[in-house]
Amino acid sequence: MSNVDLSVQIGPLKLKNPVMVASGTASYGEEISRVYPLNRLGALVTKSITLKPRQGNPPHRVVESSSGMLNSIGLQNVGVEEFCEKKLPFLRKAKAAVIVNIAAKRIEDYASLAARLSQEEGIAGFELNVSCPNVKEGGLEFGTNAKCIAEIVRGVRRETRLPILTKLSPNVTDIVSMARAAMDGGSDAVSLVNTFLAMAVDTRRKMPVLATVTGGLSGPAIKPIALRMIWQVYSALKCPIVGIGGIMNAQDALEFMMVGALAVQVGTASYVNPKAPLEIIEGLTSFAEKEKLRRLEGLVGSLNV
Amino acid sequence: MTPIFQLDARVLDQAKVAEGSFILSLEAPQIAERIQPGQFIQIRCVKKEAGKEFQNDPLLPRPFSIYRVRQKQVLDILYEVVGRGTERMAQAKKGDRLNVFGPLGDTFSYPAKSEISFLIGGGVGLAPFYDLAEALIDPKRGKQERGNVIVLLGARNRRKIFCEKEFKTLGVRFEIATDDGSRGFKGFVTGLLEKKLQATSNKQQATRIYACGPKPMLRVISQISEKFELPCEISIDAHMPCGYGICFGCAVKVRVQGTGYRVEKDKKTTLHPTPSTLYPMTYKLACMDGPVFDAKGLVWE
Repeated sequence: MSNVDLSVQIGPLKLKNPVMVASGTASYGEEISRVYPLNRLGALVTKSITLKPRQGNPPHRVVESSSGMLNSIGLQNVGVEEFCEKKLPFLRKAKAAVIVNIAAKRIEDYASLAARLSQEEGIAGFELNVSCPNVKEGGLEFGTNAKCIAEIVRGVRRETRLPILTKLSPNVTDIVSMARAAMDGGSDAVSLVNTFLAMAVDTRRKMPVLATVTGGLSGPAIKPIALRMIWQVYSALKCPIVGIGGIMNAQDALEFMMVGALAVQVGTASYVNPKAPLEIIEGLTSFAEKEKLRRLEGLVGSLNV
Repeated sequence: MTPIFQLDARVLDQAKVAEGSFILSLEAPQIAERIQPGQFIQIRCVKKEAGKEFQNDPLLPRPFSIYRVRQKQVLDILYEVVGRGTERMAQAKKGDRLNVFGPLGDTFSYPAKSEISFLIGGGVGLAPFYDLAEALIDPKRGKQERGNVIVLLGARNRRKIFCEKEFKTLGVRFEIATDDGSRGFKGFVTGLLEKKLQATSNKQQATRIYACGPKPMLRVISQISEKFELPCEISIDAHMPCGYGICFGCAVKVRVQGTGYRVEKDKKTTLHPTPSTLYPMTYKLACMDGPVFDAKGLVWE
């Protein structure tokens, strides 16, 4: 056993290590448990849960781009009741730290979802998806409006004592004001960033590749922009940040921590390399050992500028 | 759920089998000893150097059927070069390593009794059918007679024909259709299938269809299976970033099970699908619910 302390404290949320799997890239855990035990992760963030089940968008839903991919899944999910009944018991049994990502069309629905889920055991916290670029209503509209973000967070805060992360959209002019709104509303941390609104063209058919025309860009292609946004928010607010955006390996994770992320989420990397989250945890451990760090948290915001 | 094995598989061989098509042999014993006909693996097409990070471009792995499993050690992958990923894969040489994971997806089912099985491959869609043919005639698995397993390959022309010898060595029947008539039946493989079904349909022998290939071909096969009232399993290819049910990218439109209208004929009730505007539909994932689907459930658009 290594004597490096990897644990991180995000507001009231204590995680054994800073590596989570990102929402929408881990389903409800069962599939990745075929690759490694879920309790190895800092946390698992579920696919977005909505009040009612959603069928999602028609195909094509995905396309590869240079060092990245576009997706437009459309929040396909089983809905909150089936999640509680059929998905959560597995996660409890697997002893995973579960952060439930919630999404809604109406501002008040976020609070209803939090209220419903707070009755269940085995949930470590919530992540509010106020930034999905692929649904017509809500989604991106909420995420680009600071007032909406604050109102959503306040509503959820009233319903739960569990930690709240707010996942922000990068498709804004001023990311700092969005993060400030989330923190002012009572969020314990911000998750930065969701995917970048993007598109791909099929020249043979003169048509967009994705059925919904636009989708969200993820993967290594977005990493430099994600780093910049986290750096801006950290510099301005010094608030707890969960870094997301094209993290493929431990080196990438270190970069995110140095610019100010307290923890990270691994998304697209799990498609490419199912073991990526584990390799990142191992890589961070060996980095800390080599640098003789007792606590990994010491790296957060350690960038010399 | 069964475990997924991920490893840097050693390339044992890479052989050109026709214009633009290859068979890649990978040493992957953990997967080879478990994988069943119809299942697939994900292959990172870019060479993996030991101890080095993954390259980021092309980023995603690509899904491949298993053409043949040898000695529970080796996976033979029949593929065609179609894009950035397969172009890279074609450059892999003996001794290189490619990162792979599997087994993934569901399996073909075997007939309960003695039946005629048509295995129809459109071009590289032939890929899963050597493994299936071998299983079908295995006395421990499919328990079918060799002569009742009929493989039909549809190819653009004679230069695109592959694997003929291997299927014939296996002892199953193997017939070819070419679009230009340069070998075998002239026309689409769907035409060849229909001709054969008409010839056998009065013999009262139970028959089933397995198919894999381009969407337009699968659509026609699906209609043929409906016309002749034959069970039909179709292996679907889709854009598939993860291959194991976490990204929800490979959506396939299907009818909600049990919907449609019932028709009684010869004391047998069959369920006929209603037009696509009327029945309830949903999305299934090609990687988890498939890649093998019952043709009756698929919605073609």
